[in-house]
Amino acid sequence: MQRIAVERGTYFDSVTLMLISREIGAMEGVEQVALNMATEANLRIMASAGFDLSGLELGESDLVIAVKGKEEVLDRAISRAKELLKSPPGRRSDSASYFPKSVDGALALLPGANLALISVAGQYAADVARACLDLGLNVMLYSDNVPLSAEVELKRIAGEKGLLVMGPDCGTAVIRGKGLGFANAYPLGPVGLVAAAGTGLQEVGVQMARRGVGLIHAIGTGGRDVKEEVGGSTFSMGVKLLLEDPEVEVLALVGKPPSPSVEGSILDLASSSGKPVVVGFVGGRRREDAFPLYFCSDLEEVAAVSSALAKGLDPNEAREELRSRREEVLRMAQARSRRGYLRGLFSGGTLCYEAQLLASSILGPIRSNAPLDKAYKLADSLRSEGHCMVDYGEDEFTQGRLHPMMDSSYRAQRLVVEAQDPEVSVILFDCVLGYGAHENPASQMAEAVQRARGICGDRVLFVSYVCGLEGDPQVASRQRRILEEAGVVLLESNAEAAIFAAACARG
Amino acid sequence: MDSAEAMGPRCLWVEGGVEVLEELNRGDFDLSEVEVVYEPAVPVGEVPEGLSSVWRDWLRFCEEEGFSSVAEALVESGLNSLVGLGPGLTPLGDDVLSGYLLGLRVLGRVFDLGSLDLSRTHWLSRQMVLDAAEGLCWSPFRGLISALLSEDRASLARWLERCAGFGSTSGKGYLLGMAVAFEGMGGVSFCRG
Repeated sequence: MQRIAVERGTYFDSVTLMLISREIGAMEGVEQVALNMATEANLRIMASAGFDLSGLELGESDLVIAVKGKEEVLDRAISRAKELLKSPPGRRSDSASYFPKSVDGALALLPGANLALISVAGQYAADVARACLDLGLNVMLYSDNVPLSAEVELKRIAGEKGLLVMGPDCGTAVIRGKGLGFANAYPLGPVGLVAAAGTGLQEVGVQMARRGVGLIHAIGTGGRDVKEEVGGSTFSMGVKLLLEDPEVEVLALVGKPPSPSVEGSILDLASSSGKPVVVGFVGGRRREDAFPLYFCSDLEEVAAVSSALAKGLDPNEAREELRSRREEVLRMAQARSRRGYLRGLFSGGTLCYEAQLLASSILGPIRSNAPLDKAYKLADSLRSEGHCMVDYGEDEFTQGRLHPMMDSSYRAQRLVVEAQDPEVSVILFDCVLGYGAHENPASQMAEAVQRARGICGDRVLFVSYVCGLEGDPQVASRQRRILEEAGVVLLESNAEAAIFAAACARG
Repeated sequence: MDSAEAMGPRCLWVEGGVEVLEELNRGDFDLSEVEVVYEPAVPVGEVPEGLSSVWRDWLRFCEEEGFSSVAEALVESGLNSLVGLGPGLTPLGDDVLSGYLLGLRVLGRVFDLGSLDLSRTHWLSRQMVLDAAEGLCWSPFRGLISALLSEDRASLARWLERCAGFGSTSGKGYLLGMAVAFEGMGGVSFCRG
């Protein structure tokens, strides 16, 4: 049974809606709940989750409250949701603390500040960033939906002033060991990182930390920076700054392959370095190492090689260890193999990209909403086809809703749907921890796995990787335990998980 | 109360034993003869223009939920209309008014209390307004004003945390009132939106 209510001409932010959904979802007898602003994308997602929205006339400023469950609880659930909208649960009261209301006001209190982190709606973000640059501040632009022309202009101004603009759509960075945005509890160490890839940066940081090596700075650039139109201006500035920094002993560069001219200028710059530079343009052309450049194919290799160099060890031995470990992973997969389709559900864009790259070398083309090759783009991101991986962090899933790293409930629902497809044999998903991420992402996914198992038994193998550290707020070992107890097979890196899952699905 | 930070507008904390208390009760207490740990009167001085962007931010509290009726009354009907306006033990209007009077006191300016009909609020809140007019306030606001006048930005940031979180909306009301005092009519115009 379902019950739908509409609150017209209203707006609630996505954190409030998530908190209310969670509280309603915990009511006895409630099976499924969705509170969404009625954007086209949200309505499609709700329909695909099985809510019947036919006959409703909805506009984008309407809020839809949808609940499924036992008949006797539905009215109570809707009333409770409306009540909570008036007084949202669990939000920190702003009166408990002081937040400056203007950049000038903040700077007056913190005159030594040299960086502004901007997270406002995309249409206002460029103006705020420009004002901050005028005040002599470096900028981390967390906001997305900033027009390309504005990005180019901001980076031109920043370049003239010798300032950095990290982003737009820069979700993570590390400055002197302190994480900004989504970041894990990396130790402080001798490696500097420039990344045009958010979860790529996190994965390299996590894998290095597991090898006992820390980060000093990690400069995020935003994915568009390395495209031809932007020209890699932040990436190049980041490389220059970190090469000049005497505390950086090893520099690592991470991202999807830049446009050829941008890649050329980055590599020219890096070639002049007296310190080692590890290049990890995932999916790019594999080249032979030539000091100072060390070329890597995936994120874990970047971490392994960077860590070896930071410790004064032979990077080729690190690569050999990685190769042996992956052979072992393939052997492990033989024991669990089951022929069928592989479905991947990701919260991290770079993790999804890397997983497609590695899995396609075993299974052939992988379809996706963010494919390696446009030819394999899904016609409908909500309907899987063949071997398929979906990035839930893409804009289509985050408009008016939290990023899946903060709330995986839609991804979890999709997992249950995918498991019911008789042609699916393996489901792969990531679990990204760190500051800013959901406080217990493993439990969201583990509950879905248990539900799926209740329907499908052991036909489907669930594979995951926890991208996180023991010092993260969610505590990596606790998150791993939750997934293991739900019967999920856990691997040690995103690359391993993708290889294992693909090899299992190959049969 | 066991710390200077918990002191109120009618509190005085001095070093000494029972003898001091006895002198105090007899009314022949001389402040200059004892060490004063805390006294609630705000210092007087010039608010530094270099920190104007800090207090101008406080004007924007009038955009927050719960402040609209107070901001409207201030703009449309003046200070007297704030007396007793709003819910709470100390109505928000009285908090804003107290902050304003305190701000004037910091600037060394005198306000004619006769222009206010304080009978419209209850005794506790009325006393708070009267105390503020004498420059007496809760400890966090005294700390904030000292930090402001001495341009001690680190302390100012610390005290702002305490003041903004004071009561439900009282602290922000005080800060808004002080900003109006520092800004003059420009501050009132800002509240017009």
